Order: sequence, then C-alpha cells, then structure tokens
Amino acid sequence: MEVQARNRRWLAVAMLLVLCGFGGVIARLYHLQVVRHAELSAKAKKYWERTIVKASRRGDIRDARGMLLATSKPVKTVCADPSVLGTNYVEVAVAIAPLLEMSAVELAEKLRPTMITNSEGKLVEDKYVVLKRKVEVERWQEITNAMAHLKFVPDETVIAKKTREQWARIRSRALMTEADEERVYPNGALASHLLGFAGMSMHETANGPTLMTSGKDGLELALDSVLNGVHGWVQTETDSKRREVVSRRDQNVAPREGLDAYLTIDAGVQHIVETELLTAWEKHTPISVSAAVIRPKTGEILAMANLPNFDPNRPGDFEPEHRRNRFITDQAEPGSTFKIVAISAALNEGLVDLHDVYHCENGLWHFAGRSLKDDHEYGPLTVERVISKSSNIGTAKIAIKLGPQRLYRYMMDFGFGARTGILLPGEALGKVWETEKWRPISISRIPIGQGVATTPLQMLMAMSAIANEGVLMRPMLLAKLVDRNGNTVMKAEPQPVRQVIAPRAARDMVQALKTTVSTNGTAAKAAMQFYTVAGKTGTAQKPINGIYPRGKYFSSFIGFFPADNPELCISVIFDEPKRGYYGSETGVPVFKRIAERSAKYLAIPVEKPPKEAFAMTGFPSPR
Amino acid sequence: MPTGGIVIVAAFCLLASGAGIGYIWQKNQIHKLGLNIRAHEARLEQLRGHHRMLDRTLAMICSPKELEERAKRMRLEVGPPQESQIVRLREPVSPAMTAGEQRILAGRGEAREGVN
Repeated sequence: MEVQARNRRWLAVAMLLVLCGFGGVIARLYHLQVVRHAELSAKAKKYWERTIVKASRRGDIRDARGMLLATSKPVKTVCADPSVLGTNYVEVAVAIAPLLEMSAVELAEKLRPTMITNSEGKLVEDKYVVLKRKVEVERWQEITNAMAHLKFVPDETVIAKKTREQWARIRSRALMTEADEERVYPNGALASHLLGFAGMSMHETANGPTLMTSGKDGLELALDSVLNGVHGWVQTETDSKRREVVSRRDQNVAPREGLDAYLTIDAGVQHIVETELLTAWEKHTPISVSAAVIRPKTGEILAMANLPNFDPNRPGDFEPEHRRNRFITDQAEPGSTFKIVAISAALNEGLVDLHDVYHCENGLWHFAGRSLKDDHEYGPLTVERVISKSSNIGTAKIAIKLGPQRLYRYMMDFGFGARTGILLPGEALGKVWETEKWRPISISRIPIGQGVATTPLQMLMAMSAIANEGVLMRPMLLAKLVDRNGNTVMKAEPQPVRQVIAPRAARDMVQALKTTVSTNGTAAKAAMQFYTVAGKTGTAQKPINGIYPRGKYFSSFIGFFPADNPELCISVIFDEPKRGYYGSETGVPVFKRIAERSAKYLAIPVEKPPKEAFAMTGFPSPR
Repeated sequence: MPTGGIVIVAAFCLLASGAGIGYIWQKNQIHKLGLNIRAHEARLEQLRGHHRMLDRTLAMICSPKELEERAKRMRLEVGPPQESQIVRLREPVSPAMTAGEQRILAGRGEAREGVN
C-alpha cells in the first residue's frame, strides 16, 4: 500500500512537471504567436516577400521614314552586399575588377564591409553598395560565371564546413543587379542638337524613389513625359535562394511602355546638311555654322544642324558650347536678310510697288545726323532692285515711308521678339524694342537688320511665310506618337500662326527675291539648273562689347525653291567666317549644294527640264 | 467490429489520403506551372532584347553616314546620280484634256522623273 501511494505521488509529480512543461510551451507559443505576432510576422515577411520593379522601356525616336535615331538598350546596375563578404572582399574584388573595367583597389574599397547609420539613427552593417552602372547584360553573365567558379583556396574539401558554407553564400548572394537602360543613338552625332541627350535622375514612383532615364536636352527633354513610360511591379515571395515563387505572386502590374516619337526630320536630308556644313567648316573655319531645311507650306523641319556638334552617346566628353543648338538659342543682328520685313510690309500696305523708284544717293546718305552707306554707289533703283542689290539706303527710305508703328507691327506679326513655338527647350526670344524706345536713327537702321536681335529660326520662319503666300507657320518637329503596338496615338498637323501679308504682296516679294538670285543680284551663285530660286543674303557686323570690330561678321543666306511653288526653304548662317565673309561667298554656295542634293534625294519635281531630254522623246519641250 | 464499420473506416482513410495526395499533386502542378511561367517570361524578355538589338544594328547599318563610308571603303563607286545620268521624260498630253488635267499630269510625270 505504502509503495503504491509513493508511486502515485511520483506519478503526480511527473504529471505536474509534464503539465508545467506543456504550460511553458503554450505560454511561449502564446507570447510568440499572439503578443509578438505583428513584430515577428513583419520580420519574417522581410525575408521572403519582395517587390520587384518592372522597368518601363523609354520610347524610341525615329525620323519621318521610320529610321531609328534614339533607342534604349537594357543594361544592369551591379550592386553588392558587403556584409556577406566578411574578410573575403579582396578576393572578390580581384576576381571581378577586370570584368567591371575598374581597378581592384577601387573595387575592394567599395566591397569592404562598413557600418552606416540607418534612418532610425542606429549603427548597422551596410548591405548595399552600387559597384557600377550601365553594365552590359553579356558582361553580367560573365561576372556571375566568374563568381560561381571563384576559388578562395585551391582545395576547399579540407576546409571546415562552416567556412565552405560562407563561401557558397558569397558566390550566390554577394553580388546582385538592378534592371537599368542605356540610351543609344545609332547614328552618332547625326541630328545631335535636335535629339539632345538623356541621363539618369531620381523619380518618385509608387515604389518610392526610383532612378530612371530622363531627357536632359533637346527632344529627349521636350518629349520626356511621352517617351518615359510608367514602371510596373510584382509583389511576390522568394525561396531560400532568392528565386521567385511565381505561385505566390500577389500583385502583378505590367509596366506601361513609353511612346515612340516620329519626327518630321529626314535622316537623309539631315546627313546632306551635316556633310555640307562640314565642308564649309573646313573651308571658312568659322566659330560656328548652322543650317536648317524646312517645308514652307507646312512648317515641317527636315533638317537642322550646327557645327561644332557633339555625340549624344557621350555628351559629357564635349564642351557645353558644342551642345548648344545655336539655330534656336543664339540671337544676333540679322543684317540684310531682315530687309524682307520692311519691304514686304510696304508692299502689303500698298505704299510701294516693285517698279517704284528710290534714289540711293550714290552710296552715302545722311539721316538723323548719321551717315548710312551702301556697298556700291547706286543711283535710282526700283524696289525690286533695292532687294536684288541689297541697298541699305533704298530699304531705309521705304521703311521711313512705312513709319515706325507699322514697321514694329509687321516685325511682331512676322514672329520676331517671340518664340516660334518649336518643340525644343531653350529657344531665345530675340529682341525687338517698342517704338517708344526707338531713337530717330532707328527707322533707318532696324529695317536693314541693325538694332534688332533675331534667332536664325525666326528669320527662317519669316522667309518661309513669304514663300507660303504670307502665312506664318509654326515650326513642326514631331510628326506623330506611336504606341508599342504600332497604333498612332497623336498625329501632328501643320499649324498656321497668322496671315502676315496678303498673298499678292507675298508674290510680289517672291518676285523681288528671285532677282537676288539673278546675274545682277547678290546671290547669283545660288541659281539652280532645274529650279527657280528666291532668297536673300545677309552680312551683319558682330557687336563685341558695344563696338563693331572689323572682320567679325555673321553672314547668311536664306532661300527657297521652286520659287513659285516652294518645296524647301533653306537657311545657312556663319559666325565669323574666314576666307570670305559676305553671305554671297559663304552661305550661298552651301545653300546651293544642300538644295541640289536635297532636291535629288526628295525627288522634287523639276521646273525647268533640260531641252535635250525632250529632244530624245520627240515631244516638244516646254517654253 | 462489424464489416460495415471497417468499410466505412477504410473508405474514410482512402478519402483522406486521396485528398492529401491530390492536394500535394495540385501544389506540385502549381509549382511546375510557376516555373514554366518564369522560364517563358525570361525567354520573352530575352527575345525582346534580341529584337531590340537587331533593330539597333539595322539602324547602324542603314545610317546615311555608315552607308556612305561603306560605299567609299568598298570602292563601290556609288553616289547620287549626276545630271548627265538622268533622263527626264514627260508624258504626251492629249488635246482633249482640260488645262487642270494637263497640269496634274505634268506634275505627276515630273514627280516620277525625279525619282533617282
């Protein structure tokens, strides 16, 4: 009985102990699962839950014929977790430095485990460093290969299991990548001032700040919002080897790709312009030379180029001066090309007609206490000849008849002193003074392109307005926007700004401008074999610190053809050319070569077919 | 235990084990499908990347500068046609045509001549 009672007591004690044990386990479980539930589940989630950002692709830029001008290629940003490396960072640096094209010392410095202060002010191990951006995908594959075969000692079998496990962790976890993209310009410097360039900048997204490609200049900047898409993301879980468990995906938001932009630019015409500018650059060695080709009827810009230029694939290698699109950013006195404004205004007002005669004072005229000179000693000239001979005195007399108020109004109507609205950043306004600020002499100087500042684009648009029966157009660079599936999202239409002068006055002005390209005009060398050309030369002294030093000129030519049904209007402008400084010596030959090559390339119908061709066909040749 | 009871227990065990095996098979299928999706996504991305790479290469090959340089390098002696190499023809104009039709025809004829 006594033994039985003792056994029962022991059994009770044992049961109590077991119950206490179970109670302890239950208490611990309660503590972990209920009391610390939120804290621990958040900690666990951090290990397996991941949000993978799906980068959107920046849209391409193509020319009018669909030729690729700017695109993006996927690259990697190589990152590392130094906390995994421990003391092995030097071996890793030596192994991957040649592949990343970095020095092993620099790489080792980045990979060395360090402590940082986190956002909560605590000192923690740094688990993220960027080793290199813009690494090619193929190169990343080589790096992963190198890491997989990385040997810390010749024979690892003799090393302790714990150390071997650490090395395995280094091979699989020390390096990682982030998706990135690099902007590529397959044609190099072609149309570089129009395209601009792109770089990296931080953008706020749904997943926090994200480094994205964004435009920095030119069309890349102007079209940034449409070229850039919207990043997508995947909220998912990963296994112990950081591989995604697709079946555990929660959110899967596809990225919205950027739109492709089709320009009005024609790469063929652009190439013609750039090669001709290069030839002219070598001949005249100016500070800069610029040119643009436009369709006057629509305002479509087919080409725009400046020298010096730059390669948008590596914009940082060039001076800021090389990256400037001088055709829209530089403003200067336009010189004689500006005479088209006063004379077309006087024609439009009916104050003069082409056959009215003005005496040009044999080359020297005193007005408002100052003398005004012509290049030659002209006597009486018709208005038509005032243009063809580019007489300053004749133009000033016509402008005086027009009066300051009306001249100012026409200058504004032609678009001077205001932006043309071209789709490019950094366009200059030019400078047109209000008539209240004019001095008595101004009415004789402004009409000949002095005391007024214009951009080459403003002058080109004004000349195009005359070619286009007096209608000023808004310059067009963007033709359409197309989505990833080839659907046209937006199609740009030509935009008339205003009717500046009546069609009759514009036709008279064209008639006068045709005589400039006659044998008696200042631009005789611009004449083309199969087309009638109209245009105007300009040679403006360059003011430096308020004075006009000798030998420093802006020289230009703006012309269009066929004169009576214009297809192209071309402007060429030199800044301080050497070996000839008149527009007729510098701009005119370049204009002619660009015009002839472009006409052939674009198959512009000829106006004056050669007679021998008709002789071959047996049909009568046109008069 | 009566035979009926044994049958019921056996059926219950079979059902429970069947459900368990079915659940694991289904999970396995989901996992395999996940792996397939991941592989296809990777392949799609790879093909897109390859397509873009070919597009870039084509653009480089077709760039006007590259074409001109290659023609010079290979001494192909090709370039824009000289005026002496162009024969411009005009279609005969029927007398019955209106002036407007004649203008249109003349314009079209010239446009065709201009292509070179």
